[in-house]
Amino acid sequence: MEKIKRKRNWRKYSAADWIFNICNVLILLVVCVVSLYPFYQMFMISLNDPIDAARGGIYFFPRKFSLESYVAVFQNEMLATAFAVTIARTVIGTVTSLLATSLLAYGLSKPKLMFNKFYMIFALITMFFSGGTIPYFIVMEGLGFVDNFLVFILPMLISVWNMIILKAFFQNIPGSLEESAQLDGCGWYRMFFSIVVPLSVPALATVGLFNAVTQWNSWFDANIFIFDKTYLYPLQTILMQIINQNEAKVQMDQIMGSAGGAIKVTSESLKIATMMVATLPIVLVYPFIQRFFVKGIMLGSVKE
Amino acid sequence: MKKILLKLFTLVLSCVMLCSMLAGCGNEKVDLDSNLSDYVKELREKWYIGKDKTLSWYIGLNWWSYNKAWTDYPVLKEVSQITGVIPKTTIAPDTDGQKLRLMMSTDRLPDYITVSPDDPIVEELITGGYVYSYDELIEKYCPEFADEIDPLLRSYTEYDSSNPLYQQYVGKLYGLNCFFVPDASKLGAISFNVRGDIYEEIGSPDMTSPEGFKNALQAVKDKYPDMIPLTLGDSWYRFVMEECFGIHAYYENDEGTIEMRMKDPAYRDFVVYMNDLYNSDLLDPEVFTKNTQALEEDLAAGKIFCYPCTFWGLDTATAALNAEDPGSNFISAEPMHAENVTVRFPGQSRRGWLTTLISKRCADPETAIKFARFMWSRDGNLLVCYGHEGEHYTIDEETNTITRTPAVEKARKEDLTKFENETGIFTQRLFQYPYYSDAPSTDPARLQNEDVANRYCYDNTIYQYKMSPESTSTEGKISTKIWVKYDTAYPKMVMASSANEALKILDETIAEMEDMGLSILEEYWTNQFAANIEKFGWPDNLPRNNT
Repeated sequence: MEKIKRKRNWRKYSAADWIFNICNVLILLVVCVVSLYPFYQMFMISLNDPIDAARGGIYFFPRKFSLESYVAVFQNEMLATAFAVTIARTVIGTVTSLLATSLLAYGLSKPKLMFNKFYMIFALITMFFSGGTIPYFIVMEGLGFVDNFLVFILPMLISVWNMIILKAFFQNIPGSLEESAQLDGCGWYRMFFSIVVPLSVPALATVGLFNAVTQWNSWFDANIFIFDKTYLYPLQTILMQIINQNEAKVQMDQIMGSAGGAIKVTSESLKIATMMVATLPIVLVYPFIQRFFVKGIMLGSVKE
Repeated sequence: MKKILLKLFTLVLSCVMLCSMLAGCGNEKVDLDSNLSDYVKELREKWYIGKDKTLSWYIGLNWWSYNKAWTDYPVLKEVSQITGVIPKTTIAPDTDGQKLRLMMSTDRLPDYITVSPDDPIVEELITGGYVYSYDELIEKYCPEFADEIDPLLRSYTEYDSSNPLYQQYVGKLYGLNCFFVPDASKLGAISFNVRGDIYEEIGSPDMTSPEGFKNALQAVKDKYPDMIPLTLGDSWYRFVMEECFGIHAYYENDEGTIEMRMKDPAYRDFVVYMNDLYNSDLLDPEVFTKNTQALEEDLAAGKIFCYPCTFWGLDTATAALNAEDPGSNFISAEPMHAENVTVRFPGQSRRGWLTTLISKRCADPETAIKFARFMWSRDGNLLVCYGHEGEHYTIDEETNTITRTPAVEKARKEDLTKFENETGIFTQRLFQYPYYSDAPSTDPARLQNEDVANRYCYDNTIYQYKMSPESTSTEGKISTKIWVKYDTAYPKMVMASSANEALKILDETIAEMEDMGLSILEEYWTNQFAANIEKFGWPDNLPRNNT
């Protein structure tokens, strides 16, 4: 039946529709290629022998396949720990931040909450103004977060920007849903977790994705707050070190006269391989959460 | 619902436990007193400082790759066994010194701070009273160390300032610069690198005169039309062609005043020559726009004939060329020079490239200075940089040279990282001092590079040391504008349609610089240059004013 339906749709298309669709597809194809090709080319270069890659001219496929660049990246002993730290902070940070931010947003979405406006203004001030790096460090040091994994989690627990997004979303949920739940004896927490959260999956997924990407890419907090416990450095910090170290190492080897036959990886190839290691995990996760952005989840939930 | 909540709660709880576990990790205690070798026992009698001594050590180079624990490297563990001290090294994660400044402002400075001696933060650390002078610690804890510091190195590294506020720090030593080069004839770095195979094909012509050099480039162009005869790379190496005309970083006129180098009469000949090369299609048409990656690709693909730069900067390109054609390589040619010019190129920095300061937050400055003394000593240097005599190196006392054993050379050439990780040799070489010269390289190409580069190098410390004024000062602000003007005018002169046009741009640029306050800057340069000559002396092999 569906196949017949589709056939009928095509016949309904006029010439103008066909021209529009073809142009549309062509433009989007061009945009797609322009967006994806650089990433694809970098991936191909990372799979090419580094010395051969230095000659350039790699466009679609590796000329001399080699995983030497990735070997150089993964040789760093701190990489495994860095991966673990980054995954841990991404998962824990995202879950805890979502929980805290959504709870705050839900509370503030209720107009009857006492001092609601005061809390909002208080939160907005923190969004626009900050004390600067030194006072921030002093506060974190006073709380015992220096050289502590919790410095990656607790300061990022509440994002006012995300809170505002969620608050706006919660405010659009029909009040009749909550009223009917309350009539059935539902408490606030039960109502939040059983009714509001399932209806807010698109918004929570969006905010969760923002948090996850922020956590994945963060390195500045490690830079500032981690001194002695270098095993707490996240992936981005270690990857940055790998690139800097190799670049300097190649130069130092050359100055010391131990290069020539010993050059295995050029700094350019290493940069590209490092970029792949840094971005591929998060890129691979995205398709699995994309389905949560589908609109229309509210349809049919309220019959008025 | 309950199950989901329970699962969520369990997940959060396990994560919190994991956090606590990560936060609570501590170091294992290392045993330094048992299973000591005879070598260690012998040195321990002389250098032992105390039991359970630790030092925190911040290395302000984010590219420093030796990030394992100190005692994980065998020779460094021996250092700890000999002295009783275990340093805890931390490598800077950033490039701009922000972390170090944060440590300064929050009173968390480590015991040792290693940075480049030319890093502005060194001045801040000294004048802000954050670090001890080595002199006061030596006087108090180990006076014999004073006689073990090379007076020449001291003259190059002790603190110097004309600011009346900082006179109490002047003349004191705050750091020992590693890789100081006592012999100025070994500073060679720059050479005229040409494709050796193509140079032979065109008949190995004499390229030492401007005309000869141009003819050689033309011969390459005629034989290989797609090849780029000459490129200058990025702005770092443009000065090489200027030096070929006897033009140094600054121009000293007949009255002894230091002026902008564009005012050097030879600069006009230089501009005309470069303009001619460009208009004759002998200079890379993209010389001012090509980025480093594109340049490296061109070098590796064999598209460039001549590239004056550091002689070691072409090893990657040579490796790529050799992979395609074993006969293709870059060699160092005799440099081009204008008539009556004794060509010399700036050598490596003689002042070393790292200095280690001792912060006043160090709880045990006695240990800090005594450990620095060991690391600086002949015993410490040989152990950290070369290993064990007989096993890893041999010394010829007559020629004062040190030679690594064939096994070590082979291991280093095959996989330097693996060798360093397995032995720890030449890793934390932050107090390196050349008590011995390294034996000459066995690689003929390398020997040739070094020979040419060393013959044509000079110690350019007088042209570099504090010649750039502080950026926030009046001279500093003028300097910023002047050099921006220089960078924009240089390409215009080279790419001008004719020699007259190029010279016109030169004259206009000088006039504009005068309007910007060039005379104020030149007065600063003159005073500083005179102070530099007094401090370091005129370089031995550099004729003054090319006389």
